[in-house]
Amino acid sequence: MQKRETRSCGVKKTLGWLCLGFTDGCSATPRFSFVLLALTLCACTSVAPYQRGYLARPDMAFEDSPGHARAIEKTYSAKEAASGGASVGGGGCGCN
Amino acid sequence: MKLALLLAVFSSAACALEAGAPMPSLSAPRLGEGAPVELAALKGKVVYVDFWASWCVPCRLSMPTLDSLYKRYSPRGFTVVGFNKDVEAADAQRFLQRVTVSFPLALDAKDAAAQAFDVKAMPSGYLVDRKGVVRRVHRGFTQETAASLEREIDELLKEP
Repeated sequence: MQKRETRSCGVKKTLGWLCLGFTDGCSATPRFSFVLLALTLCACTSVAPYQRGYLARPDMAFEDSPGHARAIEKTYSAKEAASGGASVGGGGCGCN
Repeated sequence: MKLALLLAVFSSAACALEAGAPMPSLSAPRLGEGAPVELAALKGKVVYVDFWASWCVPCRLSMPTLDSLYKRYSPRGFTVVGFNKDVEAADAQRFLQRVTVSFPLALDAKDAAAQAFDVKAMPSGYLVDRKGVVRRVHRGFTQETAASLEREIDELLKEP
């Protein structure tokens, strides 16, 4: 147990500045890590409505080919005698 | 200190540009050929500032309507400025080959115009009166928008 802790801290020390006070073993305080986390959160920006062109690119789609994905899903449903696990059309009324 | 930090985090969310606010005065390069679009130079005209993109489905509906409104009301002092929000200008050009419009179109590559107008939806349209004051904001576009827009343009054109 003792050995494990030593190794864990050792790894963190080798990571150097990446530790940043998440444990007492490293020098910086937890408060500093909180501030750093807050600053990192600032870097996460939401996509504005007018920037959705970036999301509309074909390589941003979940599936390469919607037709192929639908065929696979249909086959899977038939083979497994189950449907509804994957995303299907409809408004959640349970009628399809 | 904590309050200041919170303010710093949330201050990036600008207030939306609503009716009653002055139209931001900015200049943007033209999409295609022509002189840059200067919004400040349009004072004295009723202006509809539209934000559109080829990937935006309701924009396909709005463009022919806006073009017909432009053709009908431009002799009375109405104009449309269409800010394109495509990532690639080529996408916009391809769209315009299918949907041709005659009103001035502008590029907004660095989002300066979209940020100045604080666009909340696509398409967004800002109807500005002759004094340069935003009078009506349309977010999204349906057939009802088209009908009310025509009425609003007519009313604003009657104002001095």
